Amino acid sequence: MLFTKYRNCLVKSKRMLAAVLAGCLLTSCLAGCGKSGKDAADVNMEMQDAKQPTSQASGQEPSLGRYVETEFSYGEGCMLDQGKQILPWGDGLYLADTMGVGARADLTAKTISDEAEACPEVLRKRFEADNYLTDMVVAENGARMYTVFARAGQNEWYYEKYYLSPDGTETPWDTVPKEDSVFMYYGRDGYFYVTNWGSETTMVYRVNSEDGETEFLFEVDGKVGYLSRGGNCLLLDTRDALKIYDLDTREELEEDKCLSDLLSGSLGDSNGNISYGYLLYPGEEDSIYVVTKKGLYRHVLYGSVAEQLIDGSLCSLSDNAWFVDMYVAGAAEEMPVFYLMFEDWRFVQFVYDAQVPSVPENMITVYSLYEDQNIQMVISAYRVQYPQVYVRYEIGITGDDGVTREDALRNLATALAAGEGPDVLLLDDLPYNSYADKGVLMDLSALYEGLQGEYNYFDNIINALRYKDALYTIPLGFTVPVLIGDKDNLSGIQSAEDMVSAFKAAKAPKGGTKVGLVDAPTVLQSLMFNYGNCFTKEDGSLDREAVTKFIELGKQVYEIDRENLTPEEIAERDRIWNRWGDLELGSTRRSNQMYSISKGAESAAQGMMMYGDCFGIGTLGGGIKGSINPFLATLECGKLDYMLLPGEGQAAFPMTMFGINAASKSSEHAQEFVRYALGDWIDEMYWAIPVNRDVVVKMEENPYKDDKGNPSYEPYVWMSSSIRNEDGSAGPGVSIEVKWCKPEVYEAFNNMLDSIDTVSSCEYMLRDTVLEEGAKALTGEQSIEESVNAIERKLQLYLAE
Amino acid sequence: MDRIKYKNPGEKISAVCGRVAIAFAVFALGSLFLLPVLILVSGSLTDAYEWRERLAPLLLNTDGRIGWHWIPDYPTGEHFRRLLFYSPEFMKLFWNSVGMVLVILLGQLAVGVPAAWAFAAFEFRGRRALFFLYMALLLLPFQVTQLSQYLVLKDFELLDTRWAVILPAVFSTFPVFLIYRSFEGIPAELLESARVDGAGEFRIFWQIGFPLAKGGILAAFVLSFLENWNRMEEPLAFIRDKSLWPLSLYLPEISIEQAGFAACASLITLTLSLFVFALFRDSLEQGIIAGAVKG
Amino acid sequence: MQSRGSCSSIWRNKVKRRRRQGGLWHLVFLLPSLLGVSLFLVLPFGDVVRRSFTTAMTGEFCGLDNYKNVFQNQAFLLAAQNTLKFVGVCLPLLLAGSLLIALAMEQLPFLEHAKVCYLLPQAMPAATVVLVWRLVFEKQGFLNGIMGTKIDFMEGGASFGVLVGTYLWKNLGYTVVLWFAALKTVPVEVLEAARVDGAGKIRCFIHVTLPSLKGAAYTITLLSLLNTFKVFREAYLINGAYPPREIYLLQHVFSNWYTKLDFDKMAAGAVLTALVLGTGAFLMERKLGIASGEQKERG
Repeated sequence: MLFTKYRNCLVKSKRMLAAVLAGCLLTSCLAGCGKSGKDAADVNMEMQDAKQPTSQASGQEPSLGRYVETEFSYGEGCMLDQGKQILPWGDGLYLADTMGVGARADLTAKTISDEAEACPEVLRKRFEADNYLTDMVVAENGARMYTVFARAGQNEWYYEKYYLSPDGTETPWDTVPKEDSVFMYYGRDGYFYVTNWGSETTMVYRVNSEDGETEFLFEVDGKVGYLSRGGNCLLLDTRDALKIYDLDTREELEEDKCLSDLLSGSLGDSNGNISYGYLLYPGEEDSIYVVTKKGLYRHVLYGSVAEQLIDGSLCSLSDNAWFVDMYVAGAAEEMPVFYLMFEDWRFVQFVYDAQVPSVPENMITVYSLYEDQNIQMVISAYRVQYPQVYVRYEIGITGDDGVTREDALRNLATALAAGEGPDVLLLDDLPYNSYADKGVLMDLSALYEGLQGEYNYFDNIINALRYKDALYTIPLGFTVPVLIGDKDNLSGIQSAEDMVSAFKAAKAPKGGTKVGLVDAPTVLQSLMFNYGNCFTKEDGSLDREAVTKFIELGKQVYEIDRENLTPEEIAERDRIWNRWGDLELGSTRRSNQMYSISKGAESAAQGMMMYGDCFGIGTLGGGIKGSINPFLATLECGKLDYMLLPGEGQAAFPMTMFGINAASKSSEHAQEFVRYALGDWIDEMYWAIPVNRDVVVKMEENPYKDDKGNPSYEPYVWMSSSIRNEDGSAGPGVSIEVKWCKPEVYEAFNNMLDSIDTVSSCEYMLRDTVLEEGAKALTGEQSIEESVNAIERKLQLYLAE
Repeated sequence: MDRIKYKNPGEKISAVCGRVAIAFAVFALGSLFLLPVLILVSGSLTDAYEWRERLAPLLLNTDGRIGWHWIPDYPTGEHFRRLLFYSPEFMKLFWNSVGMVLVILLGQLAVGVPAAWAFAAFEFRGRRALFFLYMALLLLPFQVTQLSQYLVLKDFELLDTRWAVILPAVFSTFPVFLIYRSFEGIPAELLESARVDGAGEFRIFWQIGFPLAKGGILAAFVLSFLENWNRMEEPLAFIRDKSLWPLSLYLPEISIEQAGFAACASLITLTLSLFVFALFRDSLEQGIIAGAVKG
Repeated sequence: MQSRGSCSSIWRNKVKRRRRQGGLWHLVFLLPSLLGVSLFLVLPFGDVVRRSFTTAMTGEFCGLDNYKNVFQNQAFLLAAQNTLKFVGVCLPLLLAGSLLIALAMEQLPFLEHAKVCYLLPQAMPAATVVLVWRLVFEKQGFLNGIMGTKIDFMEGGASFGVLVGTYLWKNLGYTVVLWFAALKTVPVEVLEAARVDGAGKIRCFIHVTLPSLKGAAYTITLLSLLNTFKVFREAYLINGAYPPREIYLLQHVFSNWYTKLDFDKMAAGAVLTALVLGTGAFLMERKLGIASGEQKERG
C-alpha cells in the first residue's frame, strides 16, 4: 500500500538525516575552528591570567620580572598631527606624522620635542603653499613617500603621490592612477610598500627607498586595510583574514593559525574599515611582534606558540586607545625595549625590570554596568602612577553577547552577597539607593572631607547627592542643561513659565522651529534634568502634581516648537539628526543616553544657526579646550547667549559616580583610587565637567601665547559642519573659529556652575517610564491624565516590592 | 484504522467534512508554529540596509506598517558566510554546547536512570517522601536558588568552569521523574517472575527494566536535550569566562545592525535541535508511558 | 448487557508485588543520585529556607518576620494573583487543546508529519522569539496590519494575551507529542469491547481513554507547570523588569528583589510558592488516584 511505501521512505530518510547531520558536524569542524594553534596561545594567556595576586597567599615567593611602562611627556608647543611612524634617529627616536611634521623623542629625558630640522626643503615649500598631505612615510635614510590631496573642481579630486629621495629630490610616483589613494608602509628593510586603497582587488608594490625604483609584487583579492612585513613575508589584513605572501616567490602562503587566533576579533570589519586594534612589527629573522589589547607577543611565523611578553591588563595596552606604531630597540636581546605610539598621541616605553613582581601584589576591581570611557582614562593614569596595584576593569553589559541588564544586575548582586563584589563601583546605572540601604556602600564623607582639604570642589553638586545624611557616592563629573538663545530673548527668563512664554512670543523663520527639539522624547529628555528628583514624594510615592506639571510643560514646548513646521520638514529633521543609531530592538536602555539623546549644547547651537531656530536646549559638558570653547565660539559666531535651563531648581546630571564597596577587602587601595580619580590628574573628561573645581579653573588657563608672551585670543582650530541634503548637495552650514575666551567669560561660566543647587537623580525605571508615557501624551496618543496614571501604576509596583 | 460503517451517504459526507476540518485546523496550527521560523529564514537572507528600511516605522515610532517581503529584494548570503566562516566564536560556543550537553546526558544516564529504577522497583522507608522531595526540587525557578547554588559551587571551587553547569544538571531530578513513569509501566508480573527465578537485581535492571523502558528513556533524553541545549541562566550566573559559554548565550542584543545576523545564528542553532528531533522522533512517540510490549 | 461500570471491570489491576521489600538494594541504585542531589540541589534549597528566616545581608535571625512582610507585600500578592491567573488560564487551555489535537492526529494518521513543525517553537532561542514578536505585535506590526487596528499589544490587558499566546505557542506542540504518545498506551481491547457494546465515541472517550491517561496527565501537567517558569525570559525581554500590571508575575518579583539585594523576602516568597505548588501537586496526585506507589485496586 502507499502507506507502507511511504513508511519505508521515512526510514530511509531518517538514515539520510543522520548522515547529513554527521556531515554537517564534520564540515563545521573543519570550517571555522583552528583550535590547535589557539590552544598554545591560549595556554600562555591563561597562565598569565591565572597568576593572580592570590599566589601571595600560598606563602610562596612572588615571581619577579615584568615590563614596566613609562609615558613620555610632550614639550612646550610640540604638536604631532596624526602620528604614523617611529624610527631610530640619532640616539633618540623620530616620531613622524602623516603631515611631515615630526617630533624627536629623547630616550633618557623621556621627553618629546619639536624637530623642525628634519623637514626637507621641498616639503616645507609644500606646507607653505598650503598643500594638503594625506599620508607620508619616512625611511631611516631620509627618503619619503607621500600623497598630496588636490581638487580639480567641485566634486573632483585626486591624489598626487611623490617619492622623495634621500638627497631631497622629489619625483612624482604615478604607478597607481591619480584617482586612487594609497596606503603606504615602511617595512624597515629599506623598502616602502604601497597598496592602492579601497578597491576590490589590491595591487601591492615595492619601492626601493634608495632610488625610488618601483616593482610590482602581486595582486591580492580583497580590500587591504593594513599590511606589515614579517621575516621575508608580507602580512596583509584583508578585513576578515590575515593573508601572508612570500616576498621572494610572490606567492600566497597558507594561513598562520596561531597568528590568526591571536588576532581574531581584531582584524578589520566587513566594511573594509581598518582596525587599529592591533599592530605587527617585524622582529629578528622570522619572528614578529604582535600587539593587541591582550598584550604584546613574540611569535615565530608559522610556529605553534606566541610568547606573551607584556600582559595587556597590567598596562595601558588594554585601554581602548588604538596603536599607531611601535619600535623595538635591541630586538636581538632577550628582553628588548618597546616604544609604542597610541592614536591619542601618547608615547610610552616598556622596559623589563627583573626586580619588580610579575604581578602586582594588590588588586582592585572597578565595576561599571556599561562601558565608561572616563573611567578608562582614570585607570590608565592611575596605573602609571601606582604600578604596584593591579586594576581590573569589569563591565557588566558589553553588548557583545546575550547578557541583559537584569542578568548583569543579578550577577553583581550575587557577587556582593557572596562577599566578593568589586571594590569600586560606578553607580551610574545601578540601584544605589537600594545598595545604600542594605549597607553595601561605604560612607565617603570622611574621604570627601580629606579631599576638600586639598582641592576645591563643586560642593553644591556633591552635597546634593547625600542620602540619609551620608555620602555614598561622589561623581567624577557632571553635565548641565543650558538654554541658548538671543540675548534679548533670554533676558527676563527666570522660571519655566517665563521660558514657555518666551518660546511662544518668539517668531521662528521659515523652516526653523522655536526650540529645535521637534521629537517628543527629546523634548522630555531635555527638560527632565531639572525635574527628575521631584517626581517622588518623601515616602517614595509618585507626586502626581509634579509629574503632571512636567508633562504639561513638555506638551506646551512640544506644540509651540512644531507649530511652524510641516510634516515633511519634521521628517527631514529626523533624518538629519539620524535617529537610527539610538534605537535598538532590545529592551535595555542606558541612563547615559539621557544626555546623548538630548543634544549636546554645541550641536544645539549649531543647529540653531543652520536652521534659524529661536532657541536651543542642550547639555553642556566636556573639557574646556575640546567642548566648552567650541560651544562659546559658536555662540559668539551666531550672536547668541546661554543660561542654565530653568526648571524646578537648577540641576546637574552626575556622571561616573564612584562608590566603594563597604565589604571590600582592598578598601585602602579602593579609597586611594577614588582619591586619585578626584584629584588633579585629569585633563579633559568625555562629555562631563569635572567636579573638581580646581581642575576646571586650571583648564581655563589659556595655553596659547602670542609673540610677546601674552595670552593669545587668536583662533586655534577651525570647525565647520554642514547638512547634507537628501539629494547629496550641501545644505546650510556653519564655519566657526574656535579661540580661547577672556577670563571674564570663564568667570561667568564658573559662577553659573556654582549656582547649581541640586542633582538630577531619578531611579532609572521611573525616568524611563516618564519618558515613555510622557511621549505618548505629547504626541496626543493618550491624555496627560492617562500618562500619569500609567506612571503611577508602574511606580507603585516598584515601591511595593 | 478501522473501517467504519456509515449508515448513509449523508453521514459519510459529514464525517469526511469533519476530517477535513480537523486536518485543516491541525495544519493551520502547524503553520502558525512554522511562521516565525519562516520569518527567520527570510530575515537571515536580508542585509542590514533592507532591515532598516522595512522596519523604519517601528524604529522611528511613526504611524505606518512594517513592510515584509518573504523573499528579500536583495538577498544576501553574507550573514551565513560571516557566521560559518568568520565567526570562530560561534563555532567555539557551538562545540561548547555540544560537549556540555553530551556530558550532561551521559551523566544523567548514569545517575538518573538507576535512581528512577530504585524508586520503581524497590520499597523502602521514606520512598514516597523522597520522591516527593525530588519532584518538589523542580518547582523552584532558578532565580531563587541562584545565590545559594553560587555559594555551594564556590565552596567546591567549581565556579568559572564547565562543571559548574554540568554537575547540577547531571543530578537534576527531571529525568528521574520522567523515567520513573516508564519503569512503572512495566508489568509487575515480569519483575515478580524474574525475582522468583532468582535473578539478581542488576540483571533485572539491565535485562528487563532497561530494555523495556528504552523508548521512555530516549524520550526523556530528548526532552532533557532540549532543556540543556537552551540553558541560559546557569552559564550566565556561574561562568565568567566567555570562552566556556554555550551557544545559547551567543546572540547579541538584537539591534538593527545585527538583526539579520541574529536571525541566521538562531536558524543554525535551531537546526541542530531539529535534527535531534527528527532522528529520535520514533522514540519520542513511544513515549513517556512506555507501553510495555510483549511480556 | 454490561453496565457502565463494567467497562472498567476489565481494568482489574492484579495486585502484584512489583517492588522488592526489604534489603538495601535500593541504595545501590539510588546512592549516586542521592549524593549529587543533596549536594547540588538540596543544599541550596536548604540555604534558601534558611535565608527566609534571616535578614538579607547581615544574616541575623529574624523568625517569621520575612513571611509576615511577604504576606503583606502588595507587589507579591499582585504577582501571586497574576501567576495564579496565568497558570489557571494556560494550563487548561494547553492540556485540553493539545489533547484534542492529539486525538485528531490519532484519527488521521497522515497528520503525524505536522509533528516536526510542532516541536519548532521549543527550539527557538528567547531573543529571536522576542524579535519576531516585536515584528508581529507592535503597533506597527503585522498583526495590526492584518486586523487593521492600532493596538499596542505589548501594553495593558493585551499583554496578558500575548504572554498566554507565547506560552501556548511554545508548549502546544511539545504537549501534543506527549499526549500522542500517551494515547498509544490506551488499551485497545477495552476500546474495541466498549465500541462493540455500542458505546458512542464520546462515552468511550470519557470512560476508557481518560482514566487510562491519568498517569500521563499527571506528568504532563507537572511538565507544563514547570514550563510556565520558562516563559519569564521572553516576558522580560519584551516588557522589562516592570511590565504592565497584568503580566507582573512571581518571577518578576523574585528577580527584582534579587537585584535589590532583598534576599530575605525572596527566600520567604519562594518557600511559600514551593509549598503551594507542592501541595497542589500532592493533592492532584491523590485525586487522580495515582499515588506514586501501589497501584490502586479498582473494579
